[in-house]
Amino acid sequence: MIKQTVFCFLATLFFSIIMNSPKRAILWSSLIAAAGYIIYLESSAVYGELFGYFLGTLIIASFGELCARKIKMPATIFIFPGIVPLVPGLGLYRMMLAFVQNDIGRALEVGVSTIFIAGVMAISMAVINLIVLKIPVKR
Amino acid sequence: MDSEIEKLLNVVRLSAQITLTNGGETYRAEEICKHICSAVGYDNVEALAITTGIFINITDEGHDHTVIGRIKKRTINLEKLEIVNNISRDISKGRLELDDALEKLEKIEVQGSLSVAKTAAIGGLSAGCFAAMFGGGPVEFVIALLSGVAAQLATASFGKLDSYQFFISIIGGMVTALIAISSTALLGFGDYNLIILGGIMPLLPGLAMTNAIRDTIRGDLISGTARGVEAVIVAASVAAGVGIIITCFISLGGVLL
Repeated sequence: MIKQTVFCFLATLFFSIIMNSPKRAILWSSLIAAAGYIIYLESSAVYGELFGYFLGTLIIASFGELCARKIKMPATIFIFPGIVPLVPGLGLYRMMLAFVQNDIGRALEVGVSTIFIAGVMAISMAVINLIVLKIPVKR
Repeated sequence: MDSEIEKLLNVVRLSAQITLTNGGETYRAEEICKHICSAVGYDNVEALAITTGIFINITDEGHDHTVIGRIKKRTINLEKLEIVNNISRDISKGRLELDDALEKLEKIEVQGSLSVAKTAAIGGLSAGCFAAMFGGGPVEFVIALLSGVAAQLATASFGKLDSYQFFISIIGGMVTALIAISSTALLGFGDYNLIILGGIMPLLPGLAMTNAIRDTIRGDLISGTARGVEAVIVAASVAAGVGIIITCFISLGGVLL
């Protein structure tokens, strides 16, 4: 668990460097990613995978928006690197693997669940975005 | 045409273009235009940004002044987004003159990103860490690191040709899978699943997904769907690249563990 979170932090750190993230934002977005990932791990073990993705994304999006307000930078700079560890690459890869092994049934099964995960993440981000839109911005 | 308006149009067009080219949301580009214009004293402004272009119209004493900017390339450079955001905020607070802003914008428009070698090295580290995050050991870390470096080098060299996004993604997925499968087959140990997974994580369309949602929520349906389609195509291309290599491996007589 701790090992996964630490590597999640490091992976996001390096990833945001290749995406030319501003220096002041790199540490924060990596911390946000690690926080989101640990919440995802914990809650998916208890409430199931989909809810885990929902809560993880919720954490990342809300902290991302918070940092955006505090540090006065576009929220994308924090949310995008933060969300990357949660993007369902595993599902996508398993689907492809099942397809090339001619196991269409399993491929569709994994594919649908991947689409569900992406949808849940989208809803979660949308919820935070809607709440944030109600709060006036000080420029 | 009034020279001040001309300057203003130049500033807003450049800011919007830089924002959209480097991964900003369309509503952000539109808002930046409006904020800059109203700071200079023109409140009658219409800005329409879509993923592939920007149209700005300023009405001044009954005369319309319009500028159109085309967005040809879409990359990701978060630092440029932040700089443009700062410039727009400085202008609207009256801390920055249009001339200086134009100079700054022209400078960052041509400013490059990280060098290819640096991108490859750091991208490799990122891929290695992702492999470890999914439960890989030292062997997986090292091979994923190598495949990450190779994938970044390959995508960078094809990116220079201005190839299509999906083509770059297929190449990235293929290189990752090729290195992962061939090195684990040669070594005789290591889990290629984790290596491929770590290797493709940096290639997946996280930004397109994020922006698709953020644009759609604000009602920018065209940009939202465009971004959404981009995300789906990129993800499918990476998966297809991996799939091609695995299929070749199986048909050449290799056995997947």
